[in-house]
Amino acid sequence: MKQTFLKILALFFVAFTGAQNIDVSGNVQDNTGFPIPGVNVIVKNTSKGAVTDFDGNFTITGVDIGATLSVSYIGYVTKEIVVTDNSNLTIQLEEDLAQLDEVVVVGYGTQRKKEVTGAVAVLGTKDIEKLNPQRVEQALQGQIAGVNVTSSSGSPGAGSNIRIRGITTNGDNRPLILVDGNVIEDLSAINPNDIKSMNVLKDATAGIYGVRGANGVILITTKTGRKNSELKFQFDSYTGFQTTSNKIDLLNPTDFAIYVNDAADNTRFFVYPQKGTDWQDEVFSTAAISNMNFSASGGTEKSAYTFGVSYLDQYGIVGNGKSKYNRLTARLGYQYDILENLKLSSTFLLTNSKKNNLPEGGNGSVLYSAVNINPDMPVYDENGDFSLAEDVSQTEIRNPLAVIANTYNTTKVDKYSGTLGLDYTFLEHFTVSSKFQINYSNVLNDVFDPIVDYGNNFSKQGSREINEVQDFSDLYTDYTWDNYINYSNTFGEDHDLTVLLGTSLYRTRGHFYGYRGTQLKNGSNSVSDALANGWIGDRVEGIITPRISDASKALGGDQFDSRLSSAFTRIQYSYKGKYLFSGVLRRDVSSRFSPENNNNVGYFPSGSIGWNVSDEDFMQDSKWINSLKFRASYGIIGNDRISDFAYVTLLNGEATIDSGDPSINEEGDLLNGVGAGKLGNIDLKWEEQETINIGFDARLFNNKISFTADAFKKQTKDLLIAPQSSGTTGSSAPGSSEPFINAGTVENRGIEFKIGYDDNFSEDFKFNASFNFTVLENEVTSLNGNLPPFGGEFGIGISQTDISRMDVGLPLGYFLGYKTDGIYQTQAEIDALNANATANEGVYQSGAGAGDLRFVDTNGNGYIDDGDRTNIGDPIPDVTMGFNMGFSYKNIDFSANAFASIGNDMVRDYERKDLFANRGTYMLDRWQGTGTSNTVPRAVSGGSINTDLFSDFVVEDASFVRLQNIQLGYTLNKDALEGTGIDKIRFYVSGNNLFTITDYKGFDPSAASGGPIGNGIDKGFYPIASTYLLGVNLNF
Amino acid sequence: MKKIKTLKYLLMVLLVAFSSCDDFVEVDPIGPDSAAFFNSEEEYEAALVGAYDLLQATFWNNTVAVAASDDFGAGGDAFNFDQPVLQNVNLMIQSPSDEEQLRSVWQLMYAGLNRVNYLLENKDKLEFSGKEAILAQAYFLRAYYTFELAKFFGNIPLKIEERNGVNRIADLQILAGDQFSLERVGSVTAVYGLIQEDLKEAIPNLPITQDMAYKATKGAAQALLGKAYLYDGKFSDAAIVLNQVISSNQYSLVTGDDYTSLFEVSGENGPESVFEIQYTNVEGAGWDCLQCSEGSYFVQFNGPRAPFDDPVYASGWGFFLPSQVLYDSFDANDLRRDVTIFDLRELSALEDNSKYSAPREDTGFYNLKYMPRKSDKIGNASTAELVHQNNYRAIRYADVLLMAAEAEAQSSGPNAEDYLNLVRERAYGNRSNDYSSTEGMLLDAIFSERRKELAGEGHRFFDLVRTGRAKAAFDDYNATKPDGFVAIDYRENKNEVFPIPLVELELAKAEERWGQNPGYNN
Repeated sequence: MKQTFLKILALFFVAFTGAQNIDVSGNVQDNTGFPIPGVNVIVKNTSKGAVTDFDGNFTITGVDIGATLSVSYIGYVTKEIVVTDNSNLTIQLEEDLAQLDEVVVVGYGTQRKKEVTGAVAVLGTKDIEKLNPQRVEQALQGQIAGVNVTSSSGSPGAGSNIRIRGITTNGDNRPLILVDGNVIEDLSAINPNDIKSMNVLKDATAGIYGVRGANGVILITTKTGRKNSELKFQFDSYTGFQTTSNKIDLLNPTDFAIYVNDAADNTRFFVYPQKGTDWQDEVFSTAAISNMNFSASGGTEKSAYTFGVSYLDQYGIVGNGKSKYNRLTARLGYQYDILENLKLSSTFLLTNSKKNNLPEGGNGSVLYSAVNINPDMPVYDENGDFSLAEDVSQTEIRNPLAVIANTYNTTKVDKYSGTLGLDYTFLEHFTVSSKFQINYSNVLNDVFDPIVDYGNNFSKQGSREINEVQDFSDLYTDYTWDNYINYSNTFGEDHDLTVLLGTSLYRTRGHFYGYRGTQLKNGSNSVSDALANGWIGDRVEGIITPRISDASKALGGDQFDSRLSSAFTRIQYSYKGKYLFSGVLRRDVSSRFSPENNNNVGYFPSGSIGWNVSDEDFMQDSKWINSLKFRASYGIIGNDRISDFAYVTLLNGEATIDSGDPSINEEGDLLNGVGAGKLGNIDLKWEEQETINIGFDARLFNNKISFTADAFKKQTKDLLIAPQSSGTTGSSAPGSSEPFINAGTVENRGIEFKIGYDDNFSEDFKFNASFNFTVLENEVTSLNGNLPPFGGEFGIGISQTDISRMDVGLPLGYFLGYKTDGIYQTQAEIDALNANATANEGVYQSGAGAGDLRFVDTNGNGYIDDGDRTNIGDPIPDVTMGFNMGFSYKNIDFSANAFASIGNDMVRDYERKDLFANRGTYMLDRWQGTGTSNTVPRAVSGGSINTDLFSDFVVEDASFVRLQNIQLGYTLNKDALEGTGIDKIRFYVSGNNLFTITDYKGFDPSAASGGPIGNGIDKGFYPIASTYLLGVNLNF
Repeated sequence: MKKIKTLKYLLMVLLVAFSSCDDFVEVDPIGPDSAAFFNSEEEYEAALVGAYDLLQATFWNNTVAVAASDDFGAGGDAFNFDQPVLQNVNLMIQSPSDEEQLRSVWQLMYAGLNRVNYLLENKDKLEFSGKEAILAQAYFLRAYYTFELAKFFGNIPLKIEERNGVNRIADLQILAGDQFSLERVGSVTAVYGLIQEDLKEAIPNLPITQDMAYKATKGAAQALLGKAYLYDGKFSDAAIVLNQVISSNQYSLVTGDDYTSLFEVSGENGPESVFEIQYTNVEGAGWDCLQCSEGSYFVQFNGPRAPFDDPVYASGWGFFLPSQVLYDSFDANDLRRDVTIFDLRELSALEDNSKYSAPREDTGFYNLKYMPRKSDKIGNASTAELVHQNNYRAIRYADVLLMAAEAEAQSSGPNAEDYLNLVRERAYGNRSNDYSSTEGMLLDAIFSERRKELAGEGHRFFDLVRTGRAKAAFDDYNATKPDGFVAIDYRENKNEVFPIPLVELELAKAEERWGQNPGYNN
C-alpha cells in the first residue's frame, strides 16, 4: 500500500520535474548503526546500481531525481527510497524477523520455517541476550513450551537437567545437544554470548537423530562471520552481586529452647531468653559475579571468520570463594570457499573452567548442617576456634563454617572441541558433505582433606586424624563423522523435492587416572603443601595408592568405549509450498546391545505432514490471517542410554580379599580375584518411543500476533531400567548390580501453547509479549509383567528406603507413603481404634500416642501396616508456564520474564530429628495438648512415627512462580558517538531470580534431585541465587 | 574433469563409510567376559578368590547374631531407635518389613553362593593339577555360606541336583530370572544335609595346612562339618569328625599373654585359629558399598560412643552391650572375663556424657573382643570406621573342643569331660576348676562353658535355638533385666529363624511359592 503510494508519488515527481539527475551516495546501516557491507542498492527499472563497501558506503552516478532506490540485503527488510536532491543518504535497514526465522536447522541441513512440519521451537540471539544467562540452560527455561529446566544446585557452575516434554525414560532423560553438529554433553563449555540460535526438536522430527533423539534434540548454532564484511568488534561485560534467594524459616534460639524442653519433658534446662547464632546468616554471603566477552568477526570475498573470548568469574553465595567458579572460553569460526562449489567450514572451541566444590545435599553438607545445628551455639568458642557440635543430641551435625573452612575440593576442566566440514556441490542439485567433529576433555579433581576434628575426639563424621590428598584425572574423547549427500530440485515450478542420504559414526571413550596419598610430608596440614603439582608423591610421605587398582585396571575398570553407527535418509516434498511432506528412516547399530541376536540394530521411521492453509486461494483475501499452517507428525525413536556392555556379565566386580599374609604385595596383604560386575541380560533391546504430534502455527493481524499450539502423546515402550532384583541372583555382591531389563511403558500426554504479540507502535515505541504453557500428564501404562521398580530414600540414619515408585496407572517416580488425616488428640481416640484392631493384636497404629500423626487405613484391614502406603504425590509438574515481555521506548529498552511450575511435589528431607537439631517455625504450631493442633504433631526427643515413617506430612506442594529476569537498558544516541569509532554503546541493569512465590518450606522449589525414580527429595539444596547486574554492550 | 575426480573420491569416502558401518560397532567388551573365563589355572584361582571375598561381608551376620543373643543388648544412640532392625532383633520383634542387616545377610550370602557356583559351574572346562584343591575350597565356601543362610532363615530356597544318588546343591548359579522358579529345599534338616555333603566332598582334597591364612584347611572343613552335624542332631557323626580335628594335633589353646592378646592383631591366625575371616585396614571403603570393604564394620558397632577416649581403644557406635548377668557368670578368677568384657561402669555412672555418651539401655559393659582399637585407624584415614582390621575368629579351637565335648556327651563318648576341662584349664590357668558332677549335668556344664567361652562372637543365639533352650534363656533375661529395660518377646515356633525380608519375597514373586517363615505374617 505504502509502496504503491510512493511509486505513484515518484512517477508524479518524474513527470513533474523532468529528467533531472544527480550523483547519489550514502551509507547503509543496521538499526544499531552498524554499517552493512555488501548491500545491493539498485535504481529501480534501470541497470544502475552499486554494492556497499566495507564501511557501508555506496555511490551511484547519474540518478534521476524521483527515481526509486531499492536497498536490499539478506536478513533485512528491503527498503525503497525515492531520490530527492539530497545526494548523501543514511539508510537504515530493519532486520526482517520473519526472514531471519526463515531458515531452521533441522538436522543434517536446514529448512525454510514455512516448510517445517515438526514441533520445532526456535530461540534467537536476541532472546538469549536479554536473559543474560551464565549458562545456556538458563536461556531455555520459560522460553519454550514443553521444555523444563531444573537445577540440582544453585552452586556456581552446577549443571542443570533439561527435560523436553516430560520424563520419558527411567534412565538418562537428557536431550541430545548438538553445537554446530557436534555432540556436546556438557553445556558449560558454551558461552551463551556465542550462540546465534537454539532450535529445539520436540517431536518425531528428532527421528533423523535416531537412537539419540528420544529425549528431544537441541541444535545450537554459533555465530559466524559474514563474507565481504569489515572487521568488527563487540565487547560485552557485566558485573554484579548475588545473594541467596531464600532462607528457611527456623526457630529462633528462644523458641528452640522452649521446643527442646517440650520435647525432652523439661529435662534440658534452658535459661530464657536465649542468645544464639543465625547459622543461615553465617553461611550465606553476598557474592560477586562478573563476565567479559570480546568477539571479532569479518570476512573477505571468499572467507568469513569470527573469534570470541569470554571470561566468567562467579563466587558462591555459600562459602564465597569455597564454591567459586570461573570459566574461560575461546572460540574460532572460519569458513572458506576453496572453489566456487567446494566450501570448507570449521570451528574450534576451547574451554577452561575451575570450580570449587563444597559438600552439598544431605548429611554432612554445609546447608544441611546450617539448618539443623543447635541455634544456641556460638560460631566460635572462647579461644576463637570453631565451636564444635559435640552434644550427642546432635549427632552427625557439624559446625557448617568449620566444614567450609576445611573443604579444599577443586574441579578443573580443560575442553577442546573442533569441527571440520566440507560441502561440495555438483550437477546443480547435489551437495555432498563430510563433517568431522571431535571433543576432548580432561577433568581434573584435586581434593585435600586436612586433619580436622569436628568434635568428640575425631569421632564426628568427616573428622580426620590423618590428612589425605587426591589427584584424579578423567580423560574423555569422542568424535562424530557424518557423511551425507543431498539432492534438491524443483520440478515444474510446483514440486520441490529434497532427498538426503547419509551415514554417521560416533565413538566415545574415557580413561581414568589418578593417585591418592595420605600423610603429608613433615606432618604438614597446609593446603599449599597439598595442592598436587605434578605427582602427589612429592608432597606425601605416607601411603600413595593409585586411584584405580591394578586389579581393576586389568578388568577394564579404568576405561570405557562405546560406539554407534548409523545410516539415514530423509525425503522432503512440497507442492507449491502448500502441501508438505517429510519422511525419515534411520538405522542405528549400537555397541550397547548384543550383536549376537541383532538386538543392536534398530530401524526408526518417522514422518510428518504440513498444510499451509494461508496459501490456499480461499484464504488469500483474509484480512487478518497472515499465515496459518497445520502440522502432524508420527515416529519412533530409540534409546540406548544405558551402561556399556549391559548385555553380558563382565567380571569387573569387586573381588579383593585380605590374604592374611603381609608379605604378599606392597599394598599390604591384599589379593585380587574376579567376580561378576553388573549382571548381563542378553535379551536387552532398544527402548522405543512412539510420538504423535499435531499442531498449528498462525500469524495474525499483520504478523503482530503469533500463535503455536501442539498436542502430543509420547509412549516410551520397553523402558530400559535396572530395578532391584532378588538377592538370590547375587546382584548385591561387591561391585555387582542388577541387570537392565526392558521394564514397561510410560506415557506422556500434553498440550503446549504459545502466543506472542509483537508491535511497533511507532519508531520510538516497540512492544512484545509472549506467554506459553504446557500441560503434562505422566503415567506408567505397563510393566511388561515385571515387578514395580522402586528407589529413592527418605531420612538419614533411620531411613525409609524405596519411597519412589513406578507403577501402572501412576506417574513415574510417585511417592509411596502414608496418608494422614490429622493428629490424635487424645489417648482415648487411639484406644478406641485399638479396640477394633483385633486383626493386629489390638494395635491400630504401632507407636502412636496423643499428638502424633493419624495415618489412614487405606486398605481397610482395621490397622496400619505397610499395605496402607499409597500415592501421596509426585515430583512432575502438571503445568508449566512462561511469560515474557519487553518494550523499547526511544533509547530505553526493558524486558522481563517469569516462569511458573504448578503441581510438582517435593519431599522435605533436610530435617534431622535429633533433639538439638533446629526445627522450622511451623513447629510453633505443634500439638501441645488436646485441640491445640490438627496439622503439626507434638515435639519428641528422638525418633517417632511422625518423623521416622514417610507420610504426606513431609510431602509438600512445591508449585511456584518465579520472576526469572528483569532488565532495563539504555542505548546512547548515535550523535554522541560521532567520531569515536564506536558504533553502539548500551548500558543495562538486570536482576535474575528476584523473587519466588511458593508455599514450599525448603530453600528452593525448583530444585531437582536424582533420576526419574527418586526425584523431588530435598536434602538441603543449595538455593539458586538472586543476581543483580550492571552491564555494558559495546560495538566498534 | 578435475571436479569429477574430486567427486569420485568423495563418493568413495561415502561408500567406505557405508560399508564399514556394522564393523565399527563390533567392539569387544572391556574386561573379561564371564562366559569366556576359566582358560587357565590362574583364572580358576581368581574366581576362587572372588568366592572367598563374601566371607568379609559376614560382618553383617555378626551384628544380627550378637544383637539376637540374650547376653547382649542392642545399645546405640540413646535418643533414637538407632539401627531399628538391630533393635527389633534384640527385642525379637523383627518383622518381614525389616530390611537393613537382615536383608544384607540374605543378599550377601546368596551372592557368595553364586560366586562359588560360578566356579563350580565351570569346573570341567579345563584340567590341570591342583584343581581338586581349588574345588575343595569352593565346596567348603559353599557350605559356609549355606550354613549362614540356614542358621538365619532355616529352610531356604536353593537349586538342587542329584549327584551320585545324593541330593546336592546344584553346581549352577542362580541367574537373573531363576529366582522366579526357585523352590525351598524342603526342610532345614535337608539344608544341613546339603551342607554336610559339600563338606564331605571338600575334606579329602583339602591340605592340613595352607600357604596363606585366608584359605580353608582340612581342619576348618572338618570343624564346620562337625558343627553342621551338631545343628542337625547327628551327635556321633559330629564326634567322629571333631575328634579328627583334635587328633590332627594342628591346634592348641593359647595361654598366658597369648590368651590375653588372642583378640588383638598379634593374636590373629595363631595356633588356636581353625578358621578365621581376614580383615585389613589398608584400603578405604565407602558407605555406598560396605560389602566392598576389606575391613570389618562389625567392630565399629562395639566401641563406646564418643567422646570416649582411651589410649588403646577407639570409640564406636555403642552397640552390643554385655549384660550384668553375663558379667556375673564369670568367676573373678576366670581370665576370660577381662578378655570378653570392657568395664565402663565408672564412666557410665557419671551420667553427664562428658566422658562418653551413654547408649540406649547402657549397662556400662562393652564387647571387648571386637572393640575398635586405636591402632586400626592408622592404616586408613578417611573411612576408619568402616575398615577395622580385627579378623573374625570364625572357628576357634576352643569352640571345636566344646563342640566335641557336646557331641560326645550327647552320644555317650568318652572324652566329653576332658575336652571341657581343657577349655576350663586355659580359662583359669589351672585345673582346680575341673568339672565335677556336683555342678549338675555334664551337658549343661558344656552349654554354660560355651556361653562364657564364646560370648560376643555371635554363637550364643544359634546355640540356644539348636539346643531348644532359647525360650528359657529369654524368660531368664526378662526376669533379671534391669528396671526400665524393654522385655524381649521371644516366641517359640517363630523366633528360631528370622523372617525372609518381605521385599525379597516380592522380588522373587515368592509370597506364595516360598511363603514367609512360620509365625511371621507379611
